[in-house]
Amino acid sequence: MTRIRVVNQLIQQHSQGAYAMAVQMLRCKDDAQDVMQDACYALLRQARLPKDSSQFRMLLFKVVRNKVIDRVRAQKVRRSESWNEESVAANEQQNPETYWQQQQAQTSIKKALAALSLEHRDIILLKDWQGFSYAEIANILEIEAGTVMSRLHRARLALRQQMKLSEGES
Amino acid sequence: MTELCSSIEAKLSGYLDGELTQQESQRVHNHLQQCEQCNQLYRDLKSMQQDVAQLEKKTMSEEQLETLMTDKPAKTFEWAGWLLLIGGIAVIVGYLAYQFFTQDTTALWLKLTISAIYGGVAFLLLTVLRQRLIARKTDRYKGVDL
Repeated sequence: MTRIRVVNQLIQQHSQGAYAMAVQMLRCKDDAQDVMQDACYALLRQARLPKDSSQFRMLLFKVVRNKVIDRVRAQKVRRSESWNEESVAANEQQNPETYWQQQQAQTSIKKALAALSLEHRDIILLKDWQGFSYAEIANILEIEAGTVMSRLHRARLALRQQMKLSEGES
Repeated sequence: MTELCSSIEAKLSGYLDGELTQQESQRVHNHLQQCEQCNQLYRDLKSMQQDVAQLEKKTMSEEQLETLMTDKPAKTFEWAGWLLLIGGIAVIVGYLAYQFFTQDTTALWLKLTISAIYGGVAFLLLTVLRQRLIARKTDRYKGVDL
């Protein structure tokens, strides 16, 4: 029973972040929710789960990411455009000007991210959005620790390139 | 771009993320002071990093989170519940059928008719159950293993 309590607490603590990642990758809230459900169920069937919070977070992201990839493969994803259509009324009360600037920045970075390969997008999001360390990313992506820095750097250069391209267009 | 620049450039991301050794980090830092080109790249990367960090994170509603938390232990209990229920019913039905056939004084034809009715109902239930199980097996949302 205590095991379930501990795990539940860890899930509660970290599932929002993992969910955000799943939504970002799948671009569908319902699919993301399903993936989270699958992932938590799969985690609970594991005999041994890390009790350490950051270890657990890493494992959760790894499982969620694998489930997302399973799903993407199974559906051959119809990548819908539903990503941009969401309203962002949540923090409208701030200074309208900075708010607008932020929105501009968000839109262009989102577009640029969407144009990247999955490999590049993933690693940028894990690092800069979710705040994982290189060692943790190596574990999640199942790659050599030494590869993380170079892949991340290439990904960032690609992102910069995309940003430049879209700036040129507008 | 000099050779030094390209070797520094490869380390810029590591520098930005604080993942370099102190020595390497110092080297990059010194170079950035002198080289405008690398400094520009560094500033670009840094501002992009901040933009990404601020991207909105979708969150689950309390309700969704709740389902996530409650669904799995509930499944184990569900199984135990079904097992007990079916076991109990099987014993009682068996006992009653035994009693009915051996000790009741009703005529045999009536016994058989009543059994037929109960049997019919039981078979119909089983058919529904079977269909449900098949539907469940072919459910495309069924979890994929790790």
